[in-house]
Amino acid sequence: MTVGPENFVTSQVEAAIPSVAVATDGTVGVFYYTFDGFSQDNFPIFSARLAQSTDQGVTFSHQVLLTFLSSAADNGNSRQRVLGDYMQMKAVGSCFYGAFTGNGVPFGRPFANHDPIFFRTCVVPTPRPTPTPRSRPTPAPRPTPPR
Amino acid sequence: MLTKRKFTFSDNSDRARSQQRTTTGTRVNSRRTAGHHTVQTAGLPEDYAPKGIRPIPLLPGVFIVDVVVNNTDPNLTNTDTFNDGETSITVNPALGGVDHAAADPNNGVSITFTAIVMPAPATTASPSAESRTMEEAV
Repeated sequence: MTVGPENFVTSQVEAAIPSVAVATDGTVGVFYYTFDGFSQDNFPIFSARLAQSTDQGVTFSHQVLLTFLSSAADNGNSRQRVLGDYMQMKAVGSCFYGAFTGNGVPFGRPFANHDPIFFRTCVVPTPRPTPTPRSRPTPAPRPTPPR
Repeated sequence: MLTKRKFTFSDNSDRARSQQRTTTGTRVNSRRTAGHHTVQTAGLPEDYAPKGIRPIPLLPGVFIVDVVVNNTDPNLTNTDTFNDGETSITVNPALGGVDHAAADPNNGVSITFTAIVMPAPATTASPSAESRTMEEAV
């Protein structure tokens, strides 16, 4: 086994709790959170994100899945864990399936609460170029057999 | 009762409820230990638009739902006040693929999380904790 050089999924941001999976076409998916500062009311703002790489982790494209306010502010306890210790993402075929913790209000919850959020996204296969049909040379007429 | 390594559900019974007053509303913490908070008031305005942005971006090809809201128990969204952290997910490879799931919407993804069921206000029963497994059709 050959281990290649390390590559950063993100730039210098506050990211945490990653989960990685690889689709059958080789696309590497990395779920992670970022801390995006505080709200006016001093609640932490988090974003759940998905990064995908089609070059074995050298470069990643990123998309935000959900941006939400923590349902709890800092309580001063160093053991406070509002998101838990882990999240999970799996790959089946060309699709990524994940479950993470997020605020349910944007989804219609009547009050702010940390809920399990499910997502699914599939790798869009790169369309193969349509092969140009080969032109067959017109066969030479068969010689008429002598009678 | 479900017990996890980092905390138990019985280690907070002696704590009074505390409130987090904010400029736009009040959030009420549960009596649980750090990291397991309950909010019993409506969401703050910023819950709907953190930093003024759309919380759930319109992403073509991404299916995203709240398992508590999109649930076979339509009342769970009103009663589940537990911090549903540390989620686990498994996908049946025989049924979880997109093609199979579309053909058989009753199978596919299983999501496990921990929820707590609060008793009705008129009762004196203690909240019961339970581990829930949701079979989600995808």
